[in-house]
Amino acid sequence: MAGVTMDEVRDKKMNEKTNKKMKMLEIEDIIEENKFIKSFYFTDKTITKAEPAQFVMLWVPQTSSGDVDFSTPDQIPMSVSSVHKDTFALTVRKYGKTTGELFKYKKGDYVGMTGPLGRGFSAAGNRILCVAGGIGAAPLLLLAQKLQGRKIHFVLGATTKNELFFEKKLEKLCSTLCITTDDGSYGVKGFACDPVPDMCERYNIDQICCCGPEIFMYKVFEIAETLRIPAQFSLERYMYCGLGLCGHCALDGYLICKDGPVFTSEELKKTKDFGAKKVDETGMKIDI
Amino acid sequence: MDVSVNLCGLKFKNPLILASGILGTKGSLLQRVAESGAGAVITKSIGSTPRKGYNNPTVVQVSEDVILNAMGLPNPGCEEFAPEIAVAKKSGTPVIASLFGGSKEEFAHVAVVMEKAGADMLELNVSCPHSLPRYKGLHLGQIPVETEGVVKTVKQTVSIPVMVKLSPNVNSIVDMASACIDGGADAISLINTVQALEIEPVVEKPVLGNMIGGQSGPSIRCIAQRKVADILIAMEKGELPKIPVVGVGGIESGDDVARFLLLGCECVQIGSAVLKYEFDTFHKCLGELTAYMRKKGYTNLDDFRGNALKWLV
Repeated sequence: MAGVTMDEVRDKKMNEKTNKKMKMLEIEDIIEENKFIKSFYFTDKTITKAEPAQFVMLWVPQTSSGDVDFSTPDQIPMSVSSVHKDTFALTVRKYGKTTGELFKYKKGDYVGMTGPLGRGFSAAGNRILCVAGGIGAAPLLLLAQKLQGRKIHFVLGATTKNELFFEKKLEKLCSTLCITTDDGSYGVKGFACDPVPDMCERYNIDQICCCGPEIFMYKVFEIAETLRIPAQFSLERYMYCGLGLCGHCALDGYLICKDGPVFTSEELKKTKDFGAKKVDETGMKIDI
Repeated sequence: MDVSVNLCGLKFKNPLILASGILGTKGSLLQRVAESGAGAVITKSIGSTPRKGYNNPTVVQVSEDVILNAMGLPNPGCEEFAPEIAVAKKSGTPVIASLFGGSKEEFAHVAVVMEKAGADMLELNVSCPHSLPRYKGLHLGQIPVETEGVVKTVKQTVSIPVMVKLSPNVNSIVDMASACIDGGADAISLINTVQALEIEPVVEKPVLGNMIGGQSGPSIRCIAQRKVADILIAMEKGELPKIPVVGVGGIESGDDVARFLLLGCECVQIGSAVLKYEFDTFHKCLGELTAYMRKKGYTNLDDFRGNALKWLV
């Protein structure tokens, strides 16, 4: 593909004011974390400023032909998983059609990105417990990177051994790393929320930061409430604009894309839908 | 200083209305917008049955003043949406239900559900694309006789005021306004988005998931002012019966609000400015509007409403 040909002067001027303009970025490297998960590396001065769990709207354009599959949402929210100088990574699990399309992309291909958007984690205190379920480990890796100098304890949960990723990276960044698998094929058998009460007590945790499936996050929320430890959660909803305009990703009176994706226990306590309801692509409320 | 308005018998504390399609998906969000200073709020356009939106990207910011969208009217259907009206009304701010349909019967069906749900007023979105992606044919709001039929049917079915939102993508905006008035519309609002397209040069394809879409943001404000003026001039000359006109298109400051009021608009709608100013949009615009009025020595909106129209008639 050819180099970027957009009106760079206009875009540069605008990017100083806003993160809401899409730009095309070249995939500079791809690393297979496991069979289902890949990290894609890019260079961009604005997106590398992302706070953990801030996200980009990632556009994966179907470039093959004019025969377009209109059932495919080409653009999805994706949080930044690591930053190094001017480069950053998006760690993606092959799940739906858009991520399926992205997995066909090679080094040198271009994708569109808007961001960083939303509000990320802002951990207070010195002893932090990160609790990750599945691909929820992506924004928490960046958090662990950003919080170097503090005591970070990390629970990394996966369904089974070959779904695990980031183990080596996290070992280097964290004081303790507890790995759980649902089937017990690696680490402790059970869910990532299971070791949380024990670890909170043992390490005198000041702050919990959690990302993963919402049912699991709800359990961590309940544990944190019982133990009276401040906690933050990175949530997800079906997103159209990602820019705070369309209102589709509402969680009660909050917008996931603007007020979130990270919410505190205090904020989530006020909502009715956390852990219970989400909306489908029409806006119909459905069970989580 | 009094900035209140009376639109079709409804009293709004100020002339700033949240435009349809912005944050109007849930009652709780509409409530939040109302509490942030809007004089009235309009829901997202609702149809008779649940409908998926178009593919993402559905909204793109092309430049600071140019926003393109092709949402594709995602909505959960009127029965599912109805309870949201009551939630929105907890704010004490009037709630206008925006609705669309493929036929006059469908419009009437949704209108009845929204009236029963407690909507204070209706806004008919007659410029909706049909259900097929990339649809380039004429829509209902581009055919005067079709629009008149829809308005007439809805007016016969409900007793709350009915406003019609006009598309700028027509040969004669005055003919469209005339059709709405013939159908019995209580007010008209304009403009909806301007047909638009953006191409991404690196991947050599349109950016929007639906390929084609509509433009909004400050770049369309002057287009909107011209279309609004065309209708208000016709009314002033007696070529059209006078009904309230609500200005929409690229408004993002108190001066912009004043511009539409100076043409003779009853009130205005604000939408895309939320991208820039978020929940502070209404508070900001209202503060700027009252500052404008204070400087000019105006005590209410009628003191200056329509002052610029005399140059055009």
